[in-house]
Amino acid sequence: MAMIEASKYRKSLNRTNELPLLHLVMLFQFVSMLLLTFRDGVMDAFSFQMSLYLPIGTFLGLKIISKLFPVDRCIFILTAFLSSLGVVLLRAVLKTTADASDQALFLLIGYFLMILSAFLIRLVRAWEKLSVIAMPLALGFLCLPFVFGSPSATADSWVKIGGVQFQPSELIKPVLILVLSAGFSRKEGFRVWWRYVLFAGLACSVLFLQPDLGAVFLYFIITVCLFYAGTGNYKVTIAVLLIAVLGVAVFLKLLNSIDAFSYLASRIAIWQNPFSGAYEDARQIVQGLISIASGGLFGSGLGLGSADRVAVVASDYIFAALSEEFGILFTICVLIVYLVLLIRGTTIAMNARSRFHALTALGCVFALTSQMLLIVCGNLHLIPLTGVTMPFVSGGGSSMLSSMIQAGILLGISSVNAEDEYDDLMRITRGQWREEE
Amino acid sequence: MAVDLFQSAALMLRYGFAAAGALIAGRALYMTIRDGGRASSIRAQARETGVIANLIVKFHGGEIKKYTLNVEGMVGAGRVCDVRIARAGLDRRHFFYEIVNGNMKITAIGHSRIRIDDTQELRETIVRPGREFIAGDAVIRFVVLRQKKAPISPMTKRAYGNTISLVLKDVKPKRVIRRRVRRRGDD
Repeated sequence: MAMIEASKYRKSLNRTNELPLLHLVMLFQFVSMLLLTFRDGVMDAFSFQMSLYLPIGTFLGLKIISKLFPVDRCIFILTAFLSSLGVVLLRAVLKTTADASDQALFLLIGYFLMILSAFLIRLVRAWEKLSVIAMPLALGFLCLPFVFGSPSATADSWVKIGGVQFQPSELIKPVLILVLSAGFSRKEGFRVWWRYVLFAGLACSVLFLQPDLGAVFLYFIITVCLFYAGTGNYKVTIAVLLIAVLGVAVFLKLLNSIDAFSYLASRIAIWQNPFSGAYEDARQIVQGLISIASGGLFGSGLGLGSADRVAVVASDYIFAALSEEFGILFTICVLIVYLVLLIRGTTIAMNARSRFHALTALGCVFALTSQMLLIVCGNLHLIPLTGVTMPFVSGGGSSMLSSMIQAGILLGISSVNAEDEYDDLMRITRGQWREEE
Repeated sequence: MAVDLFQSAALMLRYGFAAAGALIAGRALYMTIRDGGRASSIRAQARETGVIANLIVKFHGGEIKKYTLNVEGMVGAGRVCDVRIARAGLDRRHFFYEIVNGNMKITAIGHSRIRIDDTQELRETIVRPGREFIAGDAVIRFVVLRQKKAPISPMTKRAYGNTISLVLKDVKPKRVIRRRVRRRGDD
């Protein structure tokens, strides 16, 4: 291999400066929270503190994680932007500061978990062995709602233990991605893969019985994506998708006769015709659509909207609140940010040197973006609302922590890639190898 | 009065937020496109990125060919394989390899088998650097490429394993001892 002149290629080999992006995000965090400080006529101490803590947290978080590992800084900054957008929206939309302060606390815990997961994905190698223990544990954890269930309006997927409420399906999502990636990265064939397919099937079945159909759909999509990416077996993938479509068709036919899914039948009926006035529950969809429309191009102004009239606005209808407060132009920019996360995550997966890392990165980014698409399409009345959350933005600790863990895994893999790239550059610019036998 | 001021500020700032959103999304998109170009540039300049070993394959007819190996991958005659060795009697997916601690861990896929010599058929084996094994009709030798500088990547470190210290030791220039050779007639 010929020696490469480093100076000749210096410009093409430099990474893009991330400081302008960091400064823009910090400015947004500061101005938006400072504006909300004066919303109610008197100075709101929480919003004022957040106007300082959010930009400082983003800056320090980036400095700390960059010192530890050579991570993809753009992903970290965009994650911080989306997470802080959630805190801003919760404070702007809701009357009390309780939800926003909880979200800020979960954001802080999320940063720690992000660093921890980045560290673990770099450190731990024996994921195949760990998956043997992780699979039964994860299934047991998913079954917790049957024992300690805290029933919500539709699904019994919440657990309440000692005043702490969480959703196991959200927290198990990163485990599912890691286990399936470890399994499908092996190339021995169905002799090995069957146990991972069985695990995913059992996890979907447990969620189906709760019934948390949004999570079932998400788990199924992640499994199919990782199976195809890991095995390249398009025949089995297409067959599974066709069987799933047939299964859904049969399920929809039988829906009215199953008591446990009666809420789903009414939800589909509402979705088909929300403006008929026959359904009291249709108010949520109608208010959500009115909220999105009333935002216009530039929004109604931060803190001036009335998205709090939409039921469950903090988690399920956060996209409607975003559209109303900031307008459709800003909302499109947020969707572009998710697109950038998808592109960068896919690039990380493509540049990964091990199959496990490639599949894990792909699984994480696919889970985040498909979850975002589900909630956006649900809010826009394109599909029935599935009850999943908007990653990083929606209120709720389980969703925030799960999203941050997935982002941490992505960052960890990006740092491994950067070190591999550094080794390659040293090899290119400083000389060749020496063969040894 | 204060509420009116807040409302005016909120109404004015919505244009600012839209501009900030556009700038954040635009900058992130620009960074992504540029970094993507950078990654392509590195790949174009170094086609052998991630290579840490070679497979030297001796075909049935006596022809010898060299293939490069990354940390892990699949070897076979099919297009899906990371290392495609055609015309050597290998199956479409013959074996999966992983380089750990400077050795090559081989796992045969499906009904394929590896032979260390003509008699012993193996499903799994560990090949040390410089050793030969037989897959299909080809005799394959595994050769590790030592770097002049110790790698920083955890993946590459794991591949070299304990041998990294040996690599570092070897990098130091050795003192060359010149022996005087006796020639005929010196006495």
